[in-house]
Amino acid sequence: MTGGTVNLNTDIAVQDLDFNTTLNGTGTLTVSNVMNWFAGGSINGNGLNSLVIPAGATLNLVNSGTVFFTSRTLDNGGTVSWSGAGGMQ
Amino acid sequence: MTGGIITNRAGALFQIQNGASISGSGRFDNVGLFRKSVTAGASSISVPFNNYSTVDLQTGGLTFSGGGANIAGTITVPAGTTFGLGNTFTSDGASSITGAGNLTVSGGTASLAGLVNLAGTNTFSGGAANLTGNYICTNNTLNIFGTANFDGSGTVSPAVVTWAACSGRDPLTVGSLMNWTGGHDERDWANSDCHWSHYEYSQPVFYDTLTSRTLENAGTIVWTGGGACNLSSAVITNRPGRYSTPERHRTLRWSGRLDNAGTFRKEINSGTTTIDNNVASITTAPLTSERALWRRSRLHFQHQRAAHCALGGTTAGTGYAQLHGDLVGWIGEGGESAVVPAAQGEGIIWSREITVVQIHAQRAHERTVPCLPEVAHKPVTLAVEQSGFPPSRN
Repeated sequence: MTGGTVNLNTDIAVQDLDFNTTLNGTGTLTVSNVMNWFAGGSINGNGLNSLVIPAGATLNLVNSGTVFFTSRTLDNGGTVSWSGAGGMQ
Repeated sequence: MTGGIITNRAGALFQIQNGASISGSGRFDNVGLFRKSVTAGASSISVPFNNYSTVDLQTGGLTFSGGGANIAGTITVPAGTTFGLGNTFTSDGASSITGAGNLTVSGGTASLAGLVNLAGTNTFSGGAANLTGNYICTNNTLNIFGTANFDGSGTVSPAVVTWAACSGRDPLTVGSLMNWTGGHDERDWANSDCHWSHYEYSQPVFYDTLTSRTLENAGTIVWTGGGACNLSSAVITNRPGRYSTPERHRTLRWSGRLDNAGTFRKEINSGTTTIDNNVASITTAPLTSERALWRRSRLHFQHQRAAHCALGGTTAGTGYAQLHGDLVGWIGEGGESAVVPAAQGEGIIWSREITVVQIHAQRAHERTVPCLPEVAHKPVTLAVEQSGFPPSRN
């Protein structure tokens, strides 16, 4: 996902994801293998849904700039590896 | 984050490999392994961080600036790293914060009931820290510019202390250097002592307060600051052979006691040091010229309730007090005597029954200081070694 806005209103699971866009909606996103989250990517929710990194999966925060995470739960059961210099707001 | 939640589950790893930070609102719950590593950068977590498992600080710094809790969790801080608390944070009795690194508490209230043992510099620069558990601080540097309350079971014996305010029941033993830079030392250490081997008292012009505790000097006190020291039911003990050196204008006031068994010296600056306002008593060992010297200026004891001095010697300088320079002074017998010397030129006025045996004045080169007992029922003998201080008898 690069650029634009994605409205996710149902639960989905993907194997790999390069993420640099805006994700809205009520659905839960599960990444089962590797997710790369780049600067500028924005993940928003409804306060009840999640971004799920299950056991054995990896979320790489490779953001040179800020990423945004709003009203959603980052549910990490695997590995979050944050090597980017940008922060999270 | 804005209202976001990060949950790091059991068995999971959340690893920050640089100085990236999390800001905004929400919270971080760690049940797995949270690691800060790779670079020397400092990371700040400004949302509440609740640690139920392990925080592994490997490089740089990590500050929980959003507060949080350490609930049966462990936080490891190795040498060269700094762990900081910047907002209200609680740590329960089953938790630990340990390592050879540094600890900084910069804001909020840190209530630390578990093991806290960081061998690096411990700095309490803001907010308040309530150390009610096993807080260990030995042979290192302790800086207190905020408020630290030592009410736990550990040993607080740093090599160097710089403090402005602290309190608590724990004994504080300073191995090398103690800098009291100012503020109110309102420790409630009713049953404990403060020991130090070298003490630099350099507070600014406002008052410091010692409350219900003993400052026991076995080293050197050098008082260079311009402020006063208020004793509130406190005791300052100057051990034998040690030196307490208030310089310049100083005031030691309120209630309390100063026990001098060493040398209490006033020197260098021409200002006046005042022991004032109902300092309950001043007890001193037999004074000698080496034990009580005030040089180049005056030292006034005003409104004293009692000034005790053990007597019994017959050799000048060993059995009774010697007054040097333009001083007013005191002497008593058997530790029960009282004297209220007024300011220079106003005479020495005994406020109640005294058993003074001898007052010995030496090098009194200024105005006469007559002795004017008001309620003296026993003979008082004055002896003068040098001219300029005519003897009086009452």
